[in-house]
Amino acid sequence: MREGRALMSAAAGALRAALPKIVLSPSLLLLAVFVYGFILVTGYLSFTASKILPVPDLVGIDNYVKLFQTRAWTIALHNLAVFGTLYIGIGIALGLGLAILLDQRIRAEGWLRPIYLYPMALSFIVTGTFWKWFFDPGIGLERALRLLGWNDFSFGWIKDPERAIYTLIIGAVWHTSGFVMALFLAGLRGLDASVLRAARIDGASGVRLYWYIVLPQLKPVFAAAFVILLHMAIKSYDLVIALTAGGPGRATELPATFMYSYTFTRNQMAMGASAAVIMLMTVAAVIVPYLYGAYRERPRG
Amino acid sequence: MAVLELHGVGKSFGATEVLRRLDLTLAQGELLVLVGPSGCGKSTLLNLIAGFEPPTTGTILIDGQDVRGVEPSRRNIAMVFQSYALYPHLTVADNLAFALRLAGVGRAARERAVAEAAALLQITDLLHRKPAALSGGQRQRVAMGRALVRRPRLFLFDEPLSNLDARLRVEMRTLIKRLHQELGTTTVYVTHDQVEAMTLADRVAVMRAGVVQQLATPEEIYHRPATRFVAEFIGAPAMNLLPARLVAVAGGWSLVLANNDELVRLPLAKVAPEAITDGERDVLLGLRPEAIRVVDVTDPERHFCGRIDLIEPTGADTYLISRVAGTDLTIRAPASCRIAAGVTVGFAIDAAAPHLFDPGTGARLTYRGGE
Repeated sequence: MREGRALMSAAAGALRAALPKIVLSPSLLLLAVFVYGFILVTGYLSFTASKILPVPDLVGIDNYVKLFQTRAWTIALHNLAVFGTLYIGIGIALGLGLAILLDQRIRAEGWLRPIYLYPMALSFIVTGTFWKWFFDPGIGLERALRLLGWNDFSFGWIKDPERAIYTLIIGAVWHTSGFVMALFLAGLRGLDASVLRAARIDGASGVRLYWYIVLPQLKPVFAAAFVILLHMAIKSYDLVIALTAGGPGRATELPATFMYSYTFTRNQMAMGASAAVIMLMTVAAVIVPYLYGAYRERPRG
Repeated sequence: MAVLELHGVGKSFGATEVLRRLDLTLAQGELLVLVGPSGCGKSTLLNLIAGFEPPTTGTILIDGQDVRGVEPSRRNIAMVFQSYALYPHLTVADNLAFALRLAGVGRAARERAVAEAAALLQITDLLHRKPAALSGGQRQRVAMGRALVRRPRLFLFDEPLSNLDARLRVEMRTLIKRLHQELGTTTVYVTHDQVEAMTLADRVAVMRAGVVQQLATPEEIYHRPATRFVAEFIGAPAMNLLPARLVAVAGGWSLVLANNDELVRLPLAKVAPEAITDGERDVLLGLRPEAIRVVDVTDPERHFCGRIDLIEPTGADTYLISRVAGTDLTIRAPASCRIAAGVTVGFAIDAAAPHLFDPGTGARLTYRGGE
């Protein structure tokens, strides 16, 4: 009887010790297979001659060479450069501006803040769909203003290969700037009030207060906003599909849409895989140094 | 000429009055300490002087000029904050030079001023560091340096030592006193620490609930507290307050203490309270711990008895705690005192000037002969 109890308690102790591992292992396993495993598979595929189906024959870096000789890919990269720069630039500027305005202790803040944040709660598909309607000359802004009597008003950016990329930027900025605002607002609220008072005594008020004292202290927020927006820009896919489907022509083709179409609709799986690897490398090139910096700084307090 | 004048200055936030019509004049070179428990309005007063908030009523004059609506930076003041409030992204040198840079002072003059202030505060070695790489004491020195560099007419200190540990606090207190003696800049210093108030001040304003209870020199505050609150707030350990009854006896007055079962009569020589109109009355007898002596022989006409419950040696002094007349009485005894806990002893009080307070209003009862 006593032995049985001892055995039971030993088993319970062992169970308790192993419990964290048991609880964590399913998610670790899933993560290992479906994220890191598939990254490795994709990496491997990018060095094979896979077309419609994966094949194991290695062909070296042929796919990467071919990729950068493909006009659709260089167009996608160029589009990404334009989209990314303006999306990040305008997103941060607008988010910061809204945060500064909202930080002036205005009375309506309580219900203004969620209004700015709500777009983030929508999926990019929804955002893309209604901006498509908005930009569509037949049903959107153009038609609305013409119905109101402005007969020669025309707004056809979405059909214009030169301008379609800007409709993408508007939709994406609209979606994200409220979130960026929340980041900056948290940063502003985290500043030491007495530092701002000290600066006021030292003669910094208005623009000079923000330029010399407030913005330099928000550097970590700028970094966070930049990293978040950059990776969102690089992986932009659903917004493009919903808003312009990459068109007109290839005017709004981005690496992510390129990757999808080459992998799954154009039977160029290996090239799609190499495009995916390039995108992963780009994101990693930004996020790894950022995370390294963030984790290294923490113990210093 | 007065550097700072407050005329009827009051402040309310909505219906809450945090500062009630206050008048105050500060002469050139004076160091005034505002002291009181948290929420007494002392920091609010400092914010009004600095110009972070407008007063609800009254006028503030700095150097004879009405500063209503004048920006903090144009008031010719400098302030040291409890949280140091250093600019975290700037080096110590840039922190010190920031105000001068904004004021358009040339590089050479700026560097000279920074070097001078740094030498005065012994922070020259730290000039190239960022605030994050400094200890608390070093940060406080930098904060003071930043205030010094500007050569203001008026220094404002907002609890500058509250975030430091005890040893550093004493060291910085001495430094502040020395700097004030050397520079002679008029200063308003806010603290909740009565030791800081007593050691630094030319004059102390003891505040409570938005009202200055007493504005006087530290000696006056200590030896003639105007109210029961001041008496208890200033001095450590706090003043003992015993309920007593003042009765007329032949040739003067006597205090009667209900101590446990016995009634103790303490003769108050030469004392004739003016506040007493109808003879006998209840009072609070205020006795500082050092105004009570332990005596070997007890004379029931002049002494009272108590059992020593606790002994608190502090090194320089030993404090004895005894339950007398329903309150814990603290007695300061020399460190050489060898009394053991549990012993019943006699206490004599220095009857020359006992403090008497009205038990209802807390106001000091003045009397002839005690002065």
